[in-house]
Amino acid sequence: MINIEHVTKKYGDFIAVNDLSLTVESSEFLVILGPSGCGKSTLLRLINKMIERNDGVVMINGENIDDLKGVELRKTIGYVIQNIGLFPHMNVHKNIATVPRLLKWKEDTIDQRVADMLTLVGLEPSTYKDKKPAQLSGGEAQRIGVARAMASDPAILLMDEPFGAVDPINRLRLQKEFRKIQRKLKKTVVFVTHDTDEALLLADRICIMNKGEIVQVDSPENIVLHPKNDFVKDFFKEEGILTILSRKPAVDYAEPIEVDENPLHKDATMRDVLLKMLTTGQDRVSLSNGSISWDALLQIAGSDVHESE
Amino acid sequence: MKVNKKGLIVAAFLTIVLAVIVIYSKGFEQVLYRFFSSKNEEGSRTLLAVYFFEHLWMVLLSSLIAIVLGTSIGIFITTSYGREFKELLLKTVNLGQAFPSPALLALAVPILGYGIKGALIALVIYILMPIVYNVVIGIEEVPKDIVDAAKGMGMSEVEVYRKVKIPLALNVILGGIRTALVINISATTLAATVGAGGLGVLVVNGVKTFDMVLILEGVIPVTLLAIIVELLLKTLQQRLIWNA
Repeated sequence: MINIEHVTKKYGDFIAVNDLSLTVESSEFLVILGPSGCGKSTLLRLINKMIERNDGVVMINGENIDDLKGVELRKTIGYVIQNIGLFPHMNVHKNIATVPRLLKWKEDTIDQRVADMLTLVGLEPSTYKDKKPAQLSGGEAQRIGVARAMASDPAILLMDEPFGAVDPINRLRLQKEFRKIQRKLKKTVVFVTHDTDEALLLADRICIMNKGEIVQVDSPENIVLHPKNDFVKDFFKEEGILTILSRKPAVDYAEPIEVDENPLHKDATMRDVLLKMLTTGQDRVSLSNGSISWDALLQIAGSDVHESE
Repeated sequence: MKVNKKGLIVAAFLTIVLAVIVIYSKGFEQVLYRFFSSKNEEGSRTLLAVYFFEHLWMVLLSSLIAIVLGTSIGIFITTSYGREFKELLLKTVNLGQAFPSPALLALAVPILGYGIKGALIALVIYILMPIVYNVVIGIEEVPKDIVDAAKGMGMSEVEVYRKVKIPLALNVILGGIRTALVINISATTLAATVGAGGLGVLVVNGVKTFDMVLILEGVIPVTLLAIIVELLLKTLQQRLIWNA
C-alpha cells in the first residue's frame, strides 16, 4: 500500500505537484491519467525518490520512504519508463539480471529467475537470453523491460508510459498480457499514461490529474459515466463507453434465454456484442451460455440512458 | 566481433622495420647518406637505440600520468559532485593545449630545471585536453533514458558509472586516448630542447647544423612509432567496445 499525503513538488516558481494526497491499495492497478505537464510523471518519480519532494509524506506499507536511502528503496520497486532504457551493451540475460545482481543473488538462482521472467512475458528463454537489445523488435524490447522490472519480484511496479513507443497492435496485446500478469502476481501498479483507452482498459482505478492536482479518482466506469466536471468529460469524450464495454466479458452478463443461432466466441466482450447488433440489426445476440438483449446492453453501458428516457 | 586484421599486419610489419632501424642504426645512417648529403659522415655520436628508449620511456610515463589524470578529471566533472568545477577545469585543460608547446617547455625549465621532470609535466599538460574532453563527451552522450533506468533500478552513482556510463562511453574515451598518444609521440621530440633527451636530440642537432641525415634519423622512428601505436590502439579499441 502506498500512502501519499499532502505532497508538494516545486521547480522554482512552477508547482509540479500541489498538496496532493492519494492512496494506492495493495494489488491495485492505479492509472494516473492527464495531459502532458500535469505532474503525473513527477508524482511517480516522487514515490521512488528519483526526485525529492518539497513537502508532504510518502509511506510504503506503513514505512516512511525518508527512512530508506533512495538506492535501497529503488531496489525494492520495479520501474519501467517509456523508452525502456535497456542497456545496449548487455544481452537480455544481463539486462534482466540487473537488480538480482545488485541484490547479490546467487548466479544459479539468477539464471532460473531470468528464464522464468522471459517465460512470463511470453518469450522463449533459450532464443532470447543471449540477444542484444539492438536485435529486438519494439514489442520484444518492451517485454524485456517489464521482465527486468519484475526480476527481483518487487511488490510495487512504477510504470511511466511503458507502452507509449510501441505500435498500436502490439500495444493492445502488451496491455492485455500485462494486465493478466498483474492480476496473477497481484502486483501493486502505479501506471502513468496520457492515453485514455489504455487507462480504461487497464485500471482498477483511474486518477485524473491536471495542473499538479487530482481532479477525480474513481473506477473507470464511474469516471466515464459520472465525470466530476467538464475537464474529465472532455478528456474521455463519448468513446470512453466503448472501452468500458471492451473490458466486460459478455458471458458475465448472459441471460438464460437460448437463441437459435451461432453463439459469439466465449472470450467475446460486450463491445463485440454491440458490434454484432449494429452490423446485423438484431436486438438479441447469442452467447455460449445464453444470450443478451439490447436493453441489457444499454443498462451495462450506463443506467443513465434509461433514467433519462 | 571483427578485429581489424589488416591493421595488425601493417603494425607488425612496421614494428619489424622500426626494430631493424633501431638495432642496426649505423647501417640505417649509411643508407640515409646514400640519398642525402651531409657535412659530417660520422652520423650520430650516441646510438640511436639510446635516444629511442629515452623517447619511448618519456612517452609511456607522460601518457600514463595523463591518462590517469585526464580520465579522473573527466569523470569527476560529469558527476553531481564535480559539476560546478566543470567550466573552470575544462577552460584550464584547454589552456594547456592552446599554449604553444615549446613555450610550455621553456617555462618548465626555470621552475623544474633542465631534464626529464620538466619535460614530463609539460607533455602531460599538453595532451590532457583530448583525454578529458572525450571522457566528458562520451559520458554525457550516454542516453538519458538508459541512465534513468539504471538509477530507477537502484544503482548507486558509482554503479551507474561502472556498469553503464563508462562501458557505453568507452569507445569515445579510447578515441581520446589514441589522439593524445599520437600527439604525445611527436610532441616528445621537443623534450630535447630542455635536455631531457629522446629522438628530438637528433632532430634538434640536425636542424642546427642543417644535417638532413640527423633530422631523418630522428623523424623516421618517431613517425613509425606514432603509426604503430595508432594502429594498435585502434585494434584494442575495437576489441574493447560493446558494439564491435
